[in-house]
Amino acid sequence: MLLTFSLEVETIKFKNDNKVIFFFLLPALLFWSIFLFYPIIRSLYKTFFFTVHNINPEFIGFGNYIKLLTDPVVWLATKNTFIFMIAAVIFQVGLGVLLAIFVDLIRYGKNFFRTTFFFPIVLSAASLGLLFRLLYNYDAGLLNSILEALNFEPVLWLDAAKALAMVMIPTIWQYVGFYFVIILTALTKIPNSLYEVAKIEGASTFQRITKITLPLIFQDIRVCIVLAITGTLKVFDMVWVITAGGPFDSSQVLGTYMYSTVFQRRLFGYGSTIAIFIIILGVIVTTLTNKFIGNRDVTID
Amino acid sequence: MKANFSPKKILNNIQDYFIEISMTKFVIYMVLIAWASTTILPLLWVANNSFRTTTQIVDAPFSLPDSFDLANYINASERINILNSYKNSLIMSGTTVLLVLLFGGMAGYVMARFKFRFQNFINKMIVVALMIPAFVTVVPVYEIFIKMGIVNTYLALILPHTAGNLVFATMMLSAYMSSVSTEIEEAALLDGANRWQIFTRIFVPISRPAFATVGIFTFLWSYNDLFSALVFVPNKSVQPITVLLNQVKSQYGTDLGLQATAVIVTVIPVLLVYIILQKHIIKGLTQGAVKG
Amino acid sequence: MKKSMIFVLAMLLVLSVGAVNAGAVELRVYSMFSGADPASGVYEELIEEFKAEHPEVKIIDESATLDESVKVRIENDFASGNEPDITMYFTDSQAKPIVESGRVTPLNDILANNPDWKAGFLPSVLEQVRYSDGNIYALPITGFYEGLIVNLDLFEKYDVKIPETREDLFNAVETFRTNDIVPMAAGLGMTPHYNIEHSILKVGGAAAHDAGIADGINPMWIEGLNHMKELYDADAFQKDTLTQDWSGARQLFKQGKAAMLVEGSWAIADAQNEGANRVTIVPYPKVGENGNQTDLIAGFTSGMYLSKEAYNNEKKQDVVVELLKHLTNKEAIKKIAEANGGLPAADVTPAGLSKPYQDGLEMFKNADHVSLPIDAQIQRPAWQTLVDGVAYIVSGRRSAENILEEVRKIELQTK
Repeated sequence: MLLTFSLEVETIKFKNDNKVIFFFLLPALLFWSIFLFYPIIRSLYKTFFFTVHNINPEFIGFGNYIKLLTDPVVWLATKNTFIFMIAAVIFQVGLGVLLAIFVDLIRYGKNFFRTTFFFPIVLSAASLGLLFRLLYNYDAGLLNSILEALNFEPVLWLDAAKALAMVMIPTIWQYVGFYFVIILTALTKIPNSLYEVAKIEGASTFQRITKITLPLIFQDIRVCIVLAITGTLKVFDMVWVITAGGPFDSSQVLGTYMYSTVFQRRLFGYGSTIAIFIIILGVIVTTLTNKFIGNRDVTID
Repeated sequence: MKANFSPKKILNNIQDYFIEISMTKFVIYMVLIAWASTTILPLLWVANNSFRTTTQIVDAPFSLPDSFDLANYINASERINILNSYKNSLIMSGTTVLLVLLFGGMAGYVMARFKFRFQNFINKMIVVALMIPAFVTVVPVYEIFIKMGIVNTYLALILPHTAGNLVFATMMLSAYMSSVSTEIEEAALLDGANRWQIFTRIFVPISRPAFATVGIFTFLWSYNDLFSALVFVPNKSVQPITVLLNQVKSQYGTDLGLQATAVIVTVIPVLLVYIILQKHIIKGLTQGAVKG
Repeated sequence: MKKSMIFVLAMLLVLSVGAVNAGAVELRVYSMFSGADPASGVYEELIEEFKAEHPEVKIIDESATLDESVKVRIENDFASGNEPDITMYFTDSQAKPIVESGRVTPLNDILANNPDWKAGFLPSVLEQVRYSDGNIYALPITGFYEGLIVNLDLFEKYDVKIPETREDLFNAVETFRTNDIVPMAAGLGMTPHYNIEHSILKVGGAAAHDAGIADGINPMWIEGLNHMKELYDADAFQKDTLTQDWSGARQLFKQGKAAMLVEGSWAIADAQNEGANRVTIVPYPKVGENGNQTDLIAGFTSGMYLSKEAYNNEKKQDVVVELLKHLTNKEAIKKIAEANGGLPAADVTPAGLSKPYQDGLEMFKNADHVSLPIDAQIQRPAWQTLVDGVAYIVSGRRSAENILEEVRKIELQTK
């Protein structure tokens, strides 16, 4: 998407193709316009108002935008979100690709791994969040009980220095299975005959992965990267359950800050401004990522 | 026992097997097993808690149950009509999946195989759509539904879920379709097939793994969306099963055992859907059809 | 395959549009009595009773645990004219979007026309839920009180006096700390609400607590917040209190690892951990000169609203008033108060309450003065700014003055 096409796949052109394009896109565009773009335009309008509980709006011009630019928590959350994003792209997508390729390589237990890797995704953030809170808990947590059993001092896991990492671990872990399934799907495109040829020519497993597999699923990895970037910009529930952004906003990300602005402080206008800010960041980052990765279309002969 | 049984043959087989599992394979299996244990244990933990009381969970969060006490399950079945909620969930999420596969497939096909004027603009819009938070859409959409009078009907969840999931579906399906070889398509065109026929007879079957994946995640996201369910269908008789998760907590205290039970009760259908649909994520459909 | 899929799709779409019903009178009711709420059983019985008496009425029960998404739904229902006929909601500062939508009926005249019904309510309680425009829009059912929940076993084991003064409190903190017990479990990071209220009330007295912030920063608020910092510096709270909420704090207390907990009457049953802990509830100690030992945070901050649309609808008027009466009459109030242990809005004595709840009612009766929580008096954005500021204050990263100035600024902007 945005990244995935190359000119060469275009089909032969016909006169009535414009009609075809129109009718094939129409349902999706209608759904998006009504349920996504109309609301976001309304939100954009709201960013020019001070409104509590979404009632009695008071026009304040660019007030919310000025507040956004001078709000130290926004910048802290943006910084944290970028750290999160880099970790998500490296570990979430990376592990997803690695595990998918591994499962593709093995013969026994494929279905077992395909099923079990999916488990964390189906569990609600509330239940996984509770699990991690019970792990990290200072006085009664599992991690500290282990440390005590080994005669170490208990650790305050969720302090300002470590909280961000401690919420990143479960969030990233939970969605590795998502990228795993996407890459697994992408791997179905690669015919086994290609691997057989490679085997006959004496390629090692490692060469087989780097020379055949990775280049052929390159486009799909890019899709994963875009999803990881946009996903991180929206990250919210697990962080919210474990630390709610604290202590001292040290694990605050844009998603949690937006949530607390809207649902706790009830500042709809300012919350909408943060939403617009997130979207602008997302468009910029994905565009830059595209430029940076470049377009490497690989064909194998 | 068969007549041609020979110990030597079996020994040879075992030996071959171990040679086949080389060092590389061993490392691969170790990594996969290590990861699987991180994904299995939490689910087991939740399943385990579903047989325990809050007191037991609070006192010893990581112990096994004394007995398989079904009290939480009985309690859950008294809270809401589980079968009716399953039915509601399946109708709403099932319809959403079918609509998303149909419309997402069509849009994905066009985005993958054609070049046209607003394509870049639509691509940018898709990235924007991926990031629109639920709180932005919920109020305006709710107002529309109130005007249309469809609050408390299945459509009130199907429509927004279809719109939301179409974004990922279009991305995913167009990425997959873009690697289908042009030769097959051209041959079909020369045979006089129209675009719709090419889409349904060539692209849909070839992209079956991608459709399965999109189906899995559309089902999952639509099914798990508690926020929309609480807003758009407040009537208990129309609510999906995920609402059970809202029913286990209050300021009077969270029943941790019941919460675990609610998670297990809601998770089972999703796992079944996954197990059924993931069978379609297989090779072979595209042999020779993908541009290599 | 394709055809069958389209068939299934068509079927499902037909089903989707179903679920429309025709009937005589349909009443939509929202209450917070749902799911894990201890009164949900009683409430459902009341609804069933009403259905049996009025077979011509169809009741659509939209009750749900009131979380943030349900709040959004209700606020928007009122904003867009899709409000339930009867809605249970807050009567404190959060009532603003409901009342100011103009879609709820003032109940003054209805009550005046039904003297028996009106007589069921304690007059002082009706005063508490009166809106700032002088009208009563919501009928209360049960209220709450807050205080210091103590684990009696731990206090006896370590021979600690249940604190009544500042000195007692800090002695208790010291004794429990030396014995490896968390003196006071609190969720200062996410839900310091009850600690804020009591610190200000017991340092500065009711007048200071009730002063709000729009007219200026009361110096007692600064001292109250600094009292929390002193406790924090004395190691009174669990080490990870800055990343916890009430559920984490309550969990520690339930496990018998913490001796005190500042919470409300709703938490008592949970804090007992099914009888594993012997607990009672006492007023938070008087920790400042201006504080008064028996003063409490307590009151009624929720009630049943009646929609204007339903009341002005001739077909609905009689039955909807009938239903409202059925849910808020003296007997109904008694039953609900017995189920949830709250303060009854009627002049009744709930039967069968456990010891800590009896202690609680006694404590409530002995109070010289009760105040509603601070968030009944200041607006939500300001209150949340204060709540979020607590971690900064107790850790010394920002001063109480500094946070309160920010709170005041947003309060003035909101008003």
